[in-house]
Amino acid sequence: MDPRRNDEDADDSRERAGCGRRSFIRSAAISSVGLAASLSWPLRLVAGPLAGSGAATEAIRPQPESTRRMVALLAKITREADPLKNPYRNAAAAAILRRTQAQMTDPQELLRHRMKLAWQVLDSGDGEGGLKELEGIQAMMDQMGVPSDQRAEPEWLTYKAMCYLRIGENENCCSNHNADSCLFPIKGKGVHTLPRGSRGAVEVLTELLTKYPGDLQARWLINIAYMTLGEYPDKVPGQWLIEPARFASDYDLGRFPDIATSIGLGVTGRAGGVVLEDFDGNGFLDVMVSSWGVDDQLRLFRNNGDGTFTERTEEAGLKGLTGGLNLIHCDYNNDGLMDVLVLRGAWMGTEGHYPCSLLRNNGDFTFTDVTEEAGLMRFHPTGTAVWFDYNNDGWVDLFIANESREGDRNPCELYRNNGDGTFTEVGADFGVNLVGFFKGVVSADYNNDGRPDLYLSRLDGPKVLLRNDGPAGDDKGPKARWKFTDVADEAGVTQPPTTFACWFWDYDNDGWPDIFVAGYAEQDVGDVAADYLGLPYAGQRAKLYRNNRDGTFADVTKAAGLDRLLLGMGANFGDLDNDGWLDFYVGTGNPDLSSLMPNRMYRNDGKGRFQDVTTSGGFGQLQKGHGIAFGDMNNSGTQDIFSVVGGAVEGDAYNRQVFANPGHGNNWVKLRLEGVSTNRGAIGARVKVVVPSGLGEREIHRTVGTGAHFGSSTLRQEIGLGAARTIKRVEVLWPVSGKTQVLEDLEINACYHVKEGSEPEKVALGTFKWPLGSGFPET
Amino acid sequence: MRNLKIGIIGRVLACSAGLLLAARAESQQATPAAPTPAPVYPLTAYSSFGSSLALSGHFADLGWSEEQVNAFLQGFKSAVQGKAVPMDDSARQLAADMGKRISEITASGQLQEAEAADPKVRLKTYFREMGKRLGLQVSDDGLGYNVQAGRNGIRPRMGDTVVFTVKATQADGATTIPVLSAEHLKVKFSGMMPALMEGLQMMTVGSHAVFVIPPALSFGDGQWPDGVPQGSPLVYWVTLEDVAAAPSAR
Repeated sequence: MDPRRNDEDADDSRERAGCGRRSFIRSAAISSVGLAASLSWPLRLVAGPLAGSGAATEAIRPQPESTRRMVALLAKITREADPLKNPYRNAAAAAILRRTQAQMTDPQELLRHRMKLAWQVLDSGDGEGGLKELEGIQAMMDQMGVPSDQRAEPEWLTYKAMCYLRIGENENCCSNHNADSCLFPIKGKGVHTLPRGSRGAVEVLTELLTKYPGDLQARWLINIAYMTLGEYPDKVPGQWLIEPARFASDYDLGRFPDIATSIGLGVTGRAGGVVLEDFDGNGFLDVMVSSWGVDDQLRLFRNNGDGTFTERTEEAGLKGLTGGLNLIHCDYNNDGLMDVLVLRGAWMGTEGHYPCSLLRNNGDFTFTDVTEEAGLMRFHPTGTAVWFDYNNDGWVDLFIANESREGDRNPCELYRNNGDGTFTEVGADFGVNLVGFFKGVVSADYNNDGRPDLYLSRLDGPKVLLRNDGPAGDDKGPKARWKFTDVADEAGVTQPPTTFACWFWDYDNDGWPDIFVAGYAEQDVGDVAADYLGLPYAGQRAKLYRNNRDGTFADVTKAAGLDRLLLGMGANFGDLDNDGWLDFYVGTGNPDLSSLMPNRMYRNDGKGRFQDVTTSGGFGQLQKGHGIAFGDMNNSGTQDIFSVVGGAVEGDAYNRQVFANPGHGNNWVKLRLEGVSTNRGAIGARVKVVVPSGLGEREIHRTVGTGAHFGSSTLRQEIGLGAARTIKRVEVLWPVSGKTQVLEDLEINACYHVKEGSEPEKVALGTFKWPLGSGFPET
Repeated sequence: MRNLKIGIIGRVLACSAGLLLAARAESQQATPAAPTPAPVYPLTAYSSFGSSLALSGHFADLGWSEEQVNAFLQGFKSAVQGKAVPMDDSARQLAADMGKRISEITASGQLQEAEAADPKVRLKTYFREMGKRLGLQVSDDGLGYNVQAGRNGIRPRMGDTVVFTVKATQADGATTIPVLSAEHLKVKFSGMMPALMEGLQMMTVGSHAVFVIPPALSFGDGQWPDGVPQGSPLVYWVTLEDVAAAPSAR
């Protein structure tokens, strides 16, 4: 009577999955009411975005025909899909199961059916309904005389605890959301004002732990439940307590307050992607964010340059474009405007055969879906892709890594940019049509031979490092057949076996790209507890591979302090304190509602080690973490972080977060690179900043790109200089020409437009302070 | 064992290749001798002999293109016909490069042979191969493990009673060792072999695992049971069926 084993399809996806919602209508509606009723913000903050939007007066232009066709296609696929085959369309599945329940005559069959229904009800976010279903199941088991040892008591007690925890989260963290909600370790305003859910959870978990004291999952959850009641650690029974010291940060970075709600970005959604980029060229970073539910609207927010953001989804021609677990951007047509690719279908298995959307930026803050005319209409489930110019012809190409599983083969694809707005699929011809359950693909020139390479993370086997060996034959032109060779084994970067988040970065500033890949397997959230408690666990740990500069990498995970269970899904990196060393943030979790684990932030100490700053910085969001992007949203000189929070199932929607950087007094320089022979967005260009230091010259290395595989940071290079008061020089290596452009006499704390082959131009960026009352420290 | 074989064969063949190249270089300097009437063999024997020379010279490992191979054969044929192509600087450089390459291949073969003789290196190689095959992670003390998710969050703790089924196999992961295998074994979770103590703690009730156990974490320097290959890694396939808490823990 294992409740989880009664829905094999859902279980299979759940086990493989890592993300999360359908529009959680009930929660969202309550949230809006709560927002309007609370009026806890200064009126001008509410009025600002509304007044600035112009939504009431501006005529909305009709959507282009191609966009309308995509909208219709997405709706058609969803309409014709079977919700019972998609483990993330829970309310629809629950409705079908309720309808069909009446037809059941065999008691065993009915019991199994009700168990399936119970899980769908809970996953749809209905904790109360889940408790009722459980009562019915238990009454039925009584009636049928199911022996106690076959009742799966611990599983159902866990289910019951989850129902109560969900009630608590809905009534507090969602409906009465504030910046401290679900921030681990929960305290202050994060403590639930409506405690009935958490009280119920504590009661059930106490029963569970009394009977089964080895249940580490329950031990973790009871500590969380006590936190939500404001009774942690004092009232947690000693034998179950996980001491606060276990969660202490290694370094005090200062608090990064979550200001999303105050600035108009605290929208609710499920798992999704984010682009942080200047779409209209006014110098301020705008936001595009997705939510992966098949009916969830892609959303666009304009940075008003005054501390507020205005939603421009409909005005931008995006209405009806739904779903998308991940977004990545570039300037694919070299027109100087940033375009976006929406990636759909990941985790949904056979129900995930959705197209991607290529959204061409029209230059007036509108977009046109040009997927079909670009030759990108394909229907493989994917959540990861990368823009890179593999043939160095000055036009970015596209590699899409797909998800294959038994009976559903979806080879990876490589699209060559034809330079005329269209693409040609060449992956099969080049032998890079890999088949596997791929979760991440990133690009960098790891061997510094002038050709960008690829690294692929997968759930189902060894990682792949595709070395770009150039043209395969005598034809050296851009349309030549190309050679890629998997050298992961000889390079020593195949581990761990099951992985998700990955990225290339030069964490040690030696000019050679390194690799980070996060393990993605666990028994349950008890493995997270085991990690904090120093107990053995089966979950898969992260790996940091340092580039040995000879085609191989060294596993430096332990030396770097990263031999931890991170379970990273979304992730990205940037420089939190402008010290010139790259830090990273990992969005954690999996689809199971019990997977309440903190997202994790690590600071690079510049000496080869990473310090956990999760709790000191206020980054430990317990809800599921997906797309993450770094960027200076108010042009203060410091990078802020946009984090897409929300899980896979419909009941797991949550508010997005914006962590505002309080500043650390270090200097910086911003560079907006523009390629001429290189692609205009300068993807793949290498930047070396040389500054004086007490030990002579110090080098800071960056590569232009959107960062890690999940979340799309601005292509604008925002480079911390530490305490340096001058810049000796900046060297830009343009990959197509292979020439290094040396920039001298650049000022610190300034922004430059650097066009390939031209003198840099200083750009006066507008700047603003985060509004009073946003939670940002007032000065 | 496989590496050992490759090492020996590689060394023998590399020596032959060196002789072949040296002979060829000399042949370019000498006046061609008058052809001697050859005994009659079937043509297939000549093909085999040609292949043997190519193998012994590691030509397959040199990465030559088809065009380069054809040019080489043309030169070979010309020499046999008494019209050897003269050696120039580039040919001498090629001969030197090939000699170097073959030395590397020889050295690699010798290294593999040396590796095969060192138990620590052999164990490392074994774990690398099993890791790929079984998707293993390796703990700090060398236990290879791959644990699939279970039914609930219950994990065994010291003093609990555990019920599990274990199929022990030899290092190949297939040959069962009956004396170490059991079904529904109910025992106290303490005093087991170190690998099981560590591995079972990673499991939850209902989970399945494979543990690849280095000798030090099984019977080490102690008495190895009859029927168990002494000093060899073992592979345990385990299902954790139940955990009953120690009375004191309730």
